[in-house]
Amino acid sequence: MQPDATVVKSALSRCDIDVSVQDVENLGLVCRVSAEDSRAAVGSLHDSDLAFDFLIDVFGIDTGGAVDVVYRLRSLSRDEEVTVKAAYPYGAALESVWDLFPAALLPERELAELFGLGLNGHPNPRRLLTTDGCDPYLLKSNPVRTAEEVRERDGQLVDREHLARTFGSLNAARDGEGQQAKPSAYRAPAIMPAGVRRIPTAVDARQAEHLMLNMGPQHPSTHGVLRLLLELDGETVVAGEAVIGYLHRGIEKLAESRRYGALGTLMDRGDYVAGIHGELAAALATEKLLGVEVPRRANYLRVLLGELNRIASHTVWYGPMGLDSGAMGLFLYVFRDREALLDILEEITGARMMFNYIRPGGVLRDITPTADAKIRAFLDAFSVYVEENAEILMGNEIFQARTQGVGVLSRDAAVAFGLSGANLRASGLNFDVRRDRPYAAYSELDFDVPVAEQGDIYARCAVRIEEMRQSARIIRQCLDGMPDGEFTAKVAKVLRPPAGEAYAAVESPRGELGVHLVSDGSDAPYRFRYRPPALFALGAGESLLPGTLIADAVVTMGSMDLILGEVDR
Amino acid sequence: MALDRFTGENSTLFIRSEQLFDVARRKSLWYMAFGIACCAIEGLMHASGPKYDFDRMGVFFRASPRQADVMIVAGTVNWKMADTVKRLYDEMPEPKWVVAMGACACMGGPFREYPNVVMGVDKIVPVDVYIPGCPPRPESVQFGFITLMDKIKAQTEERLAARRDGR
Repeated sequence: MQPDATVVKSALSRCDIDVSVQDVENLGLVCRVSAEDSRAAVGSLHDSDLAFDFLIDVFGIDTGGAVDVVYRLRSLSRDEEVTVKAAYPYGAALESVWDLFPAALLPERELAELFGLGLNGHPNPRRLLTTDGCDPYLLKSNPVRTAEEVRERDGQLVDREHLARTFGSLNAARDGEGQQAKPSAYRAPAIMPAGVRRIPTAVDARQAEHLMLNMGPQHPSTHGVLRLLLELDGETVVAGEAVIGYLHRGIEKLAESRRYGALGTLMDRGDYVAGIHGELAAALATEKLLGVEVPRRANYLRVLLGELNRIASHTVWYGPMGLDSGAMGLFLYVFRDREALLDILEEITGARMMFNYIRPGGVLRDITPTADAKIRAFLDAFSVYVEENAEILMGNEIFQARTQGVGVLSRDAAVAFGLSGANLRASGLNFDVRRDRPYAAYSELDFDVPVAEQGDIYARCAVRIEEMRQSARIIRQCLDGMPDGEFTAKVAKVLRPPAGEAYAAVESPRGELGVHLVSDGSDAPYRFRYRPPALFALGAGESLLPGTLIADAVVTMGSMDLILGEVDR
Repeated sequence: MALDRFTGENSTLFIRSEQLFDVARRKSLWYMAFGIACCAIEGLMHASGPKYDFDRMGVFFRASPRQADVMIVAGTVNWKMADTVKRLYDEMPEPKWVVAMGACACMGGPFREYPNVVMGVDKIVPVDVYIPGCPPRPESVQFGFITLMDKIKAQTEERLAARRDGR
């Protein structure tokens, strides 16, 4: 879990890096290095015997005088974690570590953009989430809109200046300024991902140009507002780039003006098909800071709801997966199951999607006997339905032909891109937060972690189907073994955790959903970092694009189970 | 056909063409499959799924804005997305309607304080029906569409009345 401080220190000192190693409560080992040494430090941890080969997260914290860049690393072979921190002055250039950890490609861009840093040595150092002219929002010097500004919404009709910047010619043409208008700022970028150059190919001795295809953000098979820029040679993808940020709505920034009990409302809307898991991560981090003991019954309720939500989330992935590969009917079958699940969730929490059910200290309310009966009825039906659904899609010969051996992520690639959850396990790596870092009541429950070796789309499907079966098993255990007692601990109405930092991770349906919480002792977090597993999956999916057929690109991206609310936050 | 019930079989029916068109428009509000955020799961997927079955109201999804009558803005619109929303709206053929679904599309919702978020999609495109909720239930979306149908009907009647009065 935690490496020996002296070993880490000596590994870093061997590379002439000045480092101070500290054991921070709730966070583990924290190595503080200077900004110049940050890349070397991360590199030496990666290359040394400690073998920190998995980048959990990279993000920033505005400490008031500088931007703390935080790398959280994991060694999968030794099962240890370490945090590296480096203070960058405002406006300095961040040294990219993407060649060590390709997982850093997207988060580093986000970090540089939202903290106003430069980016050195990155193949694609452009903005990721916002449009040109937006401020680095996560800096403390850029406050959110005040209540007055929000109230004036109807008075201030249109932000003309911003409109002009965003719309360019579109608006001008509408206002009759017509032909002379400047072209829209919305332009396909000339740079493609690293190592790819645009070369005309020869087809039948003729020169054929590559076609740039813009897929999304309005495209029925991108599962939300993902935009893919594809460079096509015939039907083959030569290069592909994911453009995101169409749903960037500042969950991390807004959390800094929310109370701890209300963080769940934001997390619900981040990963919006698995809200319980987001709430749970935020609550766990808060509880770590507060030092609250959660009652056993609350833990069981958390697991129960989490697993119900996991099945509900997998149905949203599984049905559209059929749509992506051309099977319409499955969508209707799985939505029958999902309706039953949402009915149960509504019975317990009061909402179909945005639960805000898991609060620091426990859960909002107890489970009712009606809900218990409903869940049991659902489990009986689901044990038949899940086999049926699996057979409809996975047993289909066409689907097998389209997915077996397509979109293969090797074990090394999966680790390098920081994948987690079912995507990681489909590539042959056996890591599950529920089993390896038990939280809530998972240590008392019996379940299998499915692993597949092939790493292709079919393997990812198989792992998720098996996860649904295991979830049903866990739910049954929770119902049968539900302990008596309180459903929530006694906590204050307004939580003021002591100053400190905490990292808590849960296994959401998309993978390791982590929350890094920095408290300054007030009633709102100082910094709230949401580790989005889907963002890392997107980076891996992007790397799979070159060389695939365009129809396979759709299925590949679909199989990564992206939720854009989580990718963009 | 349902009309037979009112007019009897093999009867001849006289109707103004614009009235006929408005009936047709009301009964076949095809929406554009354009889900932005969480609301898309409820408003587009569940509403057209097996339980709520949007099809029975003649509401069906089209993948292209050029074949759509209604745009459901289902989710938070930020300044990066605003361009696309506007462009898609412009690409839809007349007559067209916009349904702002959920708190975010109505006024920014829980994200209204973030400077990158547009405080309501009505700042970009004209909105016909606002559906409150976060997210609204599929029933709310269906009620929103019934309201929209009533609105179209009312517009026809208004137009006819105006003509009758010689305005």
